[in-house]
Amino acid sequence: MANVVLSELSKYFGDVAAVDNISVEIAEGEFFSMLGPSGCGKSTTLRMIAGFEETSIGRIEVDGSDVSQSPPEDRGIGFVFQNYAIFPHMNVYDNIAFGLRLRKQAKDAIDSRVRAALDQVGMSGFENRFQHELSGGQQQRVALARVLVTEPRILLLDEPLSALDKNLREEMKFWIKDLQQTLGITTIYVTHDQGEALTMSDRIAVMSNGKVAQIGTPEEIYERPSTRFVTEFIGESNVLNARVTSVDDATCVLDIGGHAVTAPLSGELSEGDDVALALRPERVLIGKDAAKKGFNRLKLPLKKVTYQGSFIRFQLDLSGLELVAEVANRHDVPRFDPGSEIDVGWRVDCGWIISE
Amino acid sequence: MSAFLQTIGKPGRSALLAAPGLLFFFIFFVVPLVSLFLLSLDKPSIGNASVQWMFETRNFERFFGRALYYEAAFRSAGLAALVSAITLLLGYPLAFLIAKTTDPRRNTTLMILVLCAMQLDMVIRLFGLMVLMGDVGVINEFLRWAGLIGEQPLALMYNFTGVVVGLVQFSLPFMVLSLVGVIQGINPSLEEAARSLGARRWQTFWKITVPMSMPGILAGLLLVFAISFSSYVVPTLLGGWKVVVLPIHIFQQVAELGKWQFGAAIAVVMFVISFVVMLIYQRAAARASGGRI
Repeated sequence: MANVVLSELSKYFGDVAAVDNISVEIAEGEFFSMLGPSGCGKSTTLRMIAGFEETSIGRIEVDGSDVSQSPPEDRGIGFVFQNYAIFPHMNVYDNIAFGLRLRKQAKDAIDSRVRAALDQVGMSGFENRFQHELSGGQQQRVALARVLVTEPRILLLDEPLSALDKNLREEMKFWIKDLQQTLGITTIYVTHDQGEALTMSDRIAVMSNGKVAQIGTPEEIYERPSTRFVTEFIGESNVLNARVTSVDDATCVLDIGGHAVTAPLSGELSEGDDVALALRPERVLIGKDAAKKGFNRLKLPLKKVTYQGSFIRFQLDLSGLELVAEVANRHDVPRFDPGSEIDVGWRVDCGWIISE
Repeated sequence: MSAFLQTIGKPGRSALLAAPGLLFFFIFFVVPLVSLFLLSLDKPSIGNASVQWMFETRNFERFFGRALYYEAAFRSAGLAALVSAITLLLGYPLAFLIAKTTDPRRNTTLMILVLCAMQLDMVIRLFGLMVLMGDVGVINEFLRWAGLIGEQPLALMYNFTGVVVGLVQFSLPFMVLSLVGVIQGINPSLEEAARSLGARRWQTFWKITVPMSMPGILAGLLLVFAISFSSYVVPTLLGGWKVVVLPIHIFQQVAELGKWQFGAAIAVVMFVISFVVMLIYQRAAARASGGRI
């Protein structure tokens, strides 16, 4: 087990910065995700930590010592690939024994550890299978066993679920998290899927254009995205352009298309500033639920109602801007017809201001 | 016509498309091979190349009864095996370099250099080699100039060495071409996975890259073996009739002595040796691929 510190890490391909001066500290035993769209530099960062890519600038410290100049085989870092990279010319047993044989361990020691590893990932009995005889999920388990049997200091996972079908992905998400918690191994997980990152991580770094846009717990990232990019990348959001009309101790009043709306104060704001108010659709309530104390309360025309199974989506017209409310499909969900004016509201502290 | 195509159905139409190729293969490959087999079992008759239907085994008894001939079979097979091995040793690093060159322009340049070697006819290229390797050739003149040898030239040509060099230079592009595609097809993450599991660069090469290139290695070896085993021109021009391999015997028997039947018998022996070697390679390929075939 180990902690990882990336300091001022950059990677240039020609003149282009794939990773642009990122600094991150990952604690021992932490499940840390790097989340972002393709091309944001998350995979390149992971490959630099593994030693597959050279760093252009910066340091990669594992347990306090800089490994950025060591070859991959000296780093003690396990890597699980998106395509699993099971050696096709070896059976499952030889794949898992590969790392142990390189370490020149005794034959029966290798045997017992390989079998224990197979047992751990629920693949006992598959020793003699070859890669082409395994499903995606099974290859995934073998890839993990092959890495874990060498007892790496850190586990790196590069989009390990993206090649699996949806149901299996859901199952593996929880399985990997459980395994990680049992072993307590420091894990860095790269994904473009926010669902995976939110479910599995202790902390998430949202990345964009080679930079870290925000680091925080899943709750912090979802509840209080700090930039417009993170707000729009994670989950669905209403982002409404607004102007500050007055500033109080803890709150401020915004003007959104002629409607006065109160929001929690954040950062240095003064009257007349152009900002944006962000609001999750599931926090926007309608009908009598909206008429509560401490709420922003508006009366807005309903444009469209869409049935989406577990919830119902209401699109409202806020002086030309669109405000979306998503209401859980409970037995008492209010029925409204498009065109009618309905009560809309949200608790003041559910909205947050993003400067840009 | 379209009604006819309808009635013969899809498999019929595929067979029709393949028919010209199959016909060509049958007339120009199967028929001569069968007549060769028939001829090899026929009664010797000088200057007569047609089948007389008088079958006996005298031709084969003669072949296996005289050291002159069966030793030539070992010489031919040994030469072909040696040339395949040398070509692999020279060709693999070259193919590896080309395969791992990711810059498309440099990659194309390297490929063109390899293919250049195949542009000229073999005989013309061999004349080039003779200029290089003769007693007063470029190499000997250089060594003499450098004072590394005396008046006595190094015997590079008209011997076994000359034949090996000639066959290697002819076969190398075939080996490189068989290998490049296969090495390029190895997923780089396999090599990276091996490294992160603790394998050094050279361990990764021997445990991952080489086994994964096995299909290309075996295809290249087989191709080069076949080329060298059946080569007539190289042993004649660079061996100076001193390296007597089976094709030289066949030529002598047929063209100089008019003994078509005995020539055919030698050809059949060659065919059988090639066939057995091919079976061995195929078994090896199946094993090396780890159950993928």
